[in-house]
Order: sequence, then C-alpha cells, then structure tokens
Amino acid sequence: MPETENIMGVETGDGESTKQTINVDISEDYFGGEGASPSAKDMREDIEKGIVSLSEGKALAPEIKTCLIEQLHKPLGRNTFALTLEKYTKPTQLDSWDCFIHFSELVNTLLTAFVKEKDYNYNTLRIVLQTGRNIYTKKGVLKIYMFTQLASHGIWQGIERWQRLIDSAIDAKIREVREGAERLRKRQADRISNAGGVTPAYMFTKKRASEEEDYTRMLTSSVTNVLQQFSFYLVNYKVELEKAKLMIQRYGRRYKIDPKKLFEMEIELQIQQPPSSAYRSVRDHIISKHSKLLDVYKKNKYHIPLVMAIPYIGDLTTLRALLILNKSLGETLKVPVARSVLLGPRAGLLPLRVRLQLWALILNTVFLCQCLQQCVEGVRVRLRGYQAEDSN
Amino acid sequence: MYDYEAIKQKIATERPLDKSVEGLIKLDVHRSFQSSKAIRPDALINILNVHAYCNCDVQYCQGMNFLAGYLYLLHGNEADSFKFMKCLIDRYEMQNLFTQDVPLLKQYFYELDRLLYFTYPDLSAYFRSEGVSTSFFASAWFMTVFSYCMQHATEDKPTEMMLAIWDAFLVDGWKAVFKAALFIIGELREKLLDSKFDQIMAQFGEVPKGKLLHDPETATRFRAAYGRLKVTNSILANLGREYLQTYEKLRSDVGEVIKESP
Repeated sequence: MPETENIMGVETGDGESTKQTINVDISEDYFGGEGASPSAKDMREDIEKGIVSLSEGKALAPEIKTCLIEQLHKPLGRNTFALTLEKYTKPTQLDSWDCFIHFSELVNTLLTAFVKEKDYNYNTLRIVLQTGRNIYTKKGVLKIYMFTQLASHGIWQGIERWQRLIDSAIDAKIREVREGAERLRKRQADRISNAGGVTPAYMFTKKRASEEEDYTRMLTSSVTNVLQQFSFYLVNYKVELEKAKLMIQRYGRRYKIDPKKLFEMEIELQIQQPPSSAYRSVRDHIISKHSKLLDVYKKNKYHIPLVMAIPYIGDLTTLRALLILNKSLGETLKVPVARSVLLGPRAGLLPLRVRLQLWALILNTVFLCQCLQQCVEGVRVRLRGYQAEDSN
Repeated sequence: MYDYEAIKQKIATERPLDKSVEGLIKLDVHRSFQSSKAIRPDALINILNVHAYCNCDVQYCQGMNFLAGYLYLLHGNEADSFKFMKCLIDRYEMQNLFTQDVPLLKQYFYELDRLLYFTYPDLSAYFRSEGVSTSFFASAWFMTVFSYCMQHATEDKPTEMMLAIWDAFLVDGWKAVFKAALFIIGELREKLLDSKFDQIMAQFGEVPKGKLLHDPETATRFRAAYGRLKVTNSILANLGREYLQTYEKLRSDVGEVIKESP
C-alpha cells in the first residue's frame, strides 16, 4: 500500500471504510505544511508548479504530466490538486488552447481516478464543479469554459453523487445561516443587557417569533440559492433533463421552496437543453415545406408559379396584370406581394405611405384592390432603384 | 367597426372609463415622447382612452403608450392610429402580453432564452454564469415591438431600423421580433462576453438610445441578416409547447399554489 494512503488510514476494497476515513478533515500538514513529510511537501510543490505553469500558458513537459497523473491516482494527490484548484475562485482566462486542454485532461484524470478508487471526498468534486465554471479560454470571441471539456465524463450521470454534493452544500449553508443567526442573537442580547435589560415578555414573545421567521426565511432563501447554483451545474454537466428536474423538485419539496422559484429553476434547466424536438431535421423541414406547397398547388395550380414570379417582375404592366389576376384567385397573392416588397432587398426605398398601405393590407384593414395603386408605386420606386444601380 | 370620433365624444361627455385607468394613461403619456413635437399628448390620451373603452378585458397596460405614440407618428391622425393599433393587438394576440401576470411574456422570455442558446451557445452559457436572463432586458422589446426606442429618436420620424423591424413584424408576426432580438444581441455579443452583470445590463439599457436602433446602416445589416437567422414558426410553436408542458406539469405537482398564473 502506498505510504500516503497509510498515513490517512485508508483501507482498500471497502467503500464504506474508505468513505469514513477520507471524509475526515485532512490536516494542512499532510499537504506540505510545516509538519508534512518530505514526499508530501514535494508532491504539493509539483502539483502547484504544474497548475501555475499551465495557467501561465506554459505547456507541461511529458514527464511532469505523467508524474501529475500518477499523483492524481492517490487520494492525497487528488486532495492536493483540488485544494490548489480551489484558489481559482474568480473567472480565470487561460490564453493558450493547448494548456487549457492539458488542464482539462488532468481534471478528467482526477475524475476517472475518483470513480475508480471509490473516493468519497465530495469536497474534491465540489471544487471541480467550481473550476469548470471559473476557468475558461477564448477562441476568437468565443468563451469556452472548462465544464465543456468535463461534461462528457460519466461521473456526472450518477445521481447519488449529485445528491451528496447538494446535501453537503445545503448543510454547509444551513450551518452558515445558523451560526450567523446565533451571532446576531448574541449581539442583540449583549446590547439589551448593556442597556439595562428588557422585560422577559418582550424577549420571549414578539421578538422571538419574528427572529424565528427571519431565520426560516433566510434559510429558505439560502437553500434556494444553492439549488439555483446546482441547476446551473446540472445543465452544464449534461445531466439528463428528467433526472435533474426530479432532483430539484425533491429538494424543493423537502425545503419548502417557493413553487414559483422552483418553476424558474426547471425552466433554467430546460432552456439549455440541446435542440431536440424544437429543431426538426433538414429532411423533415423539406418534406413539410414540400407537402405544404403540394397542398397549395392542389387548390390552385397557378398560385405557386405566380408567387415564385413576383420577385422577378421587371415591368409595371406585368405586375398590374398579376394583381388583377390575383383578384380572381381570391386575393391569395396579397401576403406574398406584401412580403416580397417589405422584405425585399430594396424595402428601405419604400415611401412611408406605400409601406403603411402594405401594413394595412396585411392587417386586413384595406383590400388588395385598394392597395394596388400604392403597390405599383412601390414597385416603380424599386425599379428606379434597380435602374440607378445599373447606370452606376 | 368602431366609430372613433363617436367613442371619443362619448368618453368626453359620459366618462365611462374607470378613473384609475384614465389617470394611469395620463401619467404614462406625460412620461413618454417628451421631446417629440409631432406626437401630441392629448392625441395619445384620446387614442388610449378609446382603446381602453373598446378593449374591456385589458383596458390599458404600460407599453401601449409607446405603441400608440409610434403609430401616431406614422399615421399623423388619431383615427387611423387607433384602427391600426386595435387590428395589430387583435391579430398578433398582444392582449396576452398585457393581461395581469403577463403570461405570454413569460413564455416569450423562455423562447428567447432557448433561441439564444441555439444561436449563441457561448453567450447563453455566459449569461447563465452571470445570472442574466433575457427577462431582465427584453420585456419592452416584446410589449412595444421596440417602439419604446422611438422616444430617443433625434428626429420626429421613424428610424430605418424601426421600419425594418416593423416590416418584418407585419409580415412574419412574432418570429420577426425574436429575430430582431437575436440580431441586436448578436451585434452586442463581443462586448457582452467581456462584461460583468452590471455592464451587461448597462449595455442593454443603452440599446434604445444607441446607434443600433437609430443608424440606417444597422437597418441594412438587419434586412440582410433577417433570412439567415434561424427562427421559424414551427420552432417557436415547439418551444411554446415545451414551456407550457413544463408549466402544466409543475402546476399539477403543486396543485393550487400558483393560482394567478395561466
């Protein structure tokens, strides 16, 4: 058994015992503090050096990379790596794409080792989640976050792991809120005793009740924040939508989160799902468009050729004839005419009066025959534009 | 059809409108298009009063003042502006944007967030990490079809970009507003990716005043890009279904808790 594991008292082959021993807070000494063994100190220095050089855009030499990978297969190495990563609390840009990829590879190795070695130190995973959000590189204007490189790792599909992560984050938050409330209460009690004290009725009824309410409110809002943060992670680490939703709902019910907030979180989850039903395949799109055209053609076999001809009309007589024909076609051409003029390349040249007539035509406040004159005028403007362009 | 002049007369003599509605209309009108000489406040008040009288369900909602103002600027007379506004609200079902709790608006925010994710995934992820949602800046875009920007116009005539957006809106409906929104976000994309939350919000705050909506060049770019932006009616319908399914599921889960929403 490796020396570092013996120091921590890790037993191999038994998940539960590993969990209990590794979850214990590890002293700073083991990470190269004053009382650390020389090998632990060396390891910490190696890992720190590796991460710093990557963040400065210097690629790792193959032997250093191999050495780091070896360390990541040991619990102490993983912890040291994670604690070094934890220093990246703010968004940090890596200028070199290669370094970004090396960095991601190391974190992916850590994740694989985490699963393989049945590691139960969820603090490491928590730090990895944060790192994915904080470290990024740029390709042109594109910001690429590290989570994009980590999301395909199988570790994120284990729902139990997520539950443990959420549980521990919520526990930490509750502890924080409780301690804060306790401190506040103590400060108030000190103030009251300094001021000569108050009646017990005041202390234990009205004031007490409002304090309790404040505490509950603060607790709910803190848990909501944690869940909101995790809904971001669940999306970006590509957890299946339904599983993620169920998990958020379960926590929402347990901590009595406002249903509206819960709904917002679910929407957040859904917003960033990859295009599925919303985007049809190109083939489906063509088939659908084709069948629509066929339907129209069955109803009126002149319609399609006429619509297709509109953008190519070169003289006013043809247009006039077309619009007169349109009347006998039940005015089916009015939207295509309006579309071709309003969304055409020279729509900017349309006089306001013509434009308003076309808008009114679409809204059915005027009929096409009333609009014909204005349409013709609009086309005349377009033709003038074409001619001016040709002469130029 | 509505007889605009007769209704206007009736409102002036019989005062059938709720006082609070009249008060709100006056208040909003005096706060909008202050620098415009072409848009008379009393004309806007008349249009909005008549509209409130004819549309009992919604009566009046903030945002309608900008729609009415823009249409008045285009038509130059009250009756046509009212007629156009009424048809517009009916045809594009805008009343759902103006009813209490703005149900359709929430759905549109969801759809825009999704479209943003499809179109600019990096920006979408960045917005999430900064805690920015389209609901923070796009409500006026939908509720007024960008017409609120006209109060910052330097001249008393519609800008090219506004005309381009409205041309597309009249032809294609809401799809065009989504495309315009994506176009504007796309134009700002580079700067947005380099900004923190406050700066992002400030940049969107500048949109109605800035070059984007008042420079004719932008209109030309928008018209050229319009066909390339991938937003179709079927995508919007599917996203709408997606939103409603989630909403319905949650509603059945929590029972009667969310009563006021659709």
